[in-house]
Amino acid sequence: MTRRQLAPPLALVAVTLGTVCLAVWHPFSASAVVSGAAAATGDATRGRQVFTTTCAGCHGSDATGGVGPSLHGIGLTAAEVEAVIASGRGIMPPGLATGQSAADVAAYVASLPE
Amino acid sequence: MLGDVNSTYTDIVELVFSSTIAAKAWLATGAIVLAVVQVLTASRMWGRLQRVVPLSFPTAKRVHRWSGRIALLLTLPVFFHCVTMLGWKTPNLRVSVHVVAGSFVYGVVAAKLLVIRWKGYPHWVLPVLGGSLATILAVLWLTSALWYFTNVRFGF
Repeated sequence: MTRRQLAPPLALVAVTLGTVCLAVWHPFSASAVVSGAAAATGDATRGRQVFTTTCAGCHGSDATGGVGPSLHGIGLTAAEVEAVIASGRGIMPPGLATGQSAADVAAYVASLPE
Repeated sequence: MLGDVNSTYTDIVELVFSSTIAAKAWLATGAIVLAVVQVLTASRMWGRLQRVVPLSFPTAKRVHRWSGRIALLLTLPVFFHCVTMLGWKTPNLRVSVHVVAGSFVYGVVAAKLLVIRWKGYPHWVLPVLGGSLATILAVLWLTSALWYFTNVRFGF
């Protein structure tokens, strides 16, 4: 096989692996944005940023509802909200935010007024 | 810096669409429509479906090239959001299938472009690559845009 004949399969493998590596890294994710500001518990300010990127599509940019329900005054603690994020609910898939991002967005949602 | 990219992208997208997810659903829909055009015009160029696609060879070739270019452009914002913002996640079967299939898109595109440019490959290579790309795009659309339209909302 010549080098020219090998180029397409090599390109396929290289570009695919590059895509996987970039996806694993996902440098512009909300969690990457808030990393470096580690906190033991969620930070509502950072959580709002995560919410805007990850949750606002369904719950609305101000969390007053859209396709998904309003999140104002839902009466859940941050830990309970974090559990819902982890397990999913209804059509909301599980794990939309994880780790510190989940804690932050849970703190934000729990802080929303009625 | 990272936050700037994330929020700037979201701000730009939300000038037109209600959310970044809605934008991806519609851009992917545009890409899959053009993928169908790609399959039809490619079939015409290979001497098939001449009654279904009543185009001359040069016209079919021109439509094939431009629909491919536009489809590729439509996938770029989707790729950017999926890969650099959402990243590799496998919370359920739908998303798992989506991320695995999505990883191959540009690899297959790169291989196809090289095969087109350099002649001398077996005759079946190009249709197989093109068919694979169309199949991958269909899987991606079914596991994302169709899910969004049927489970979340059908709107911009």
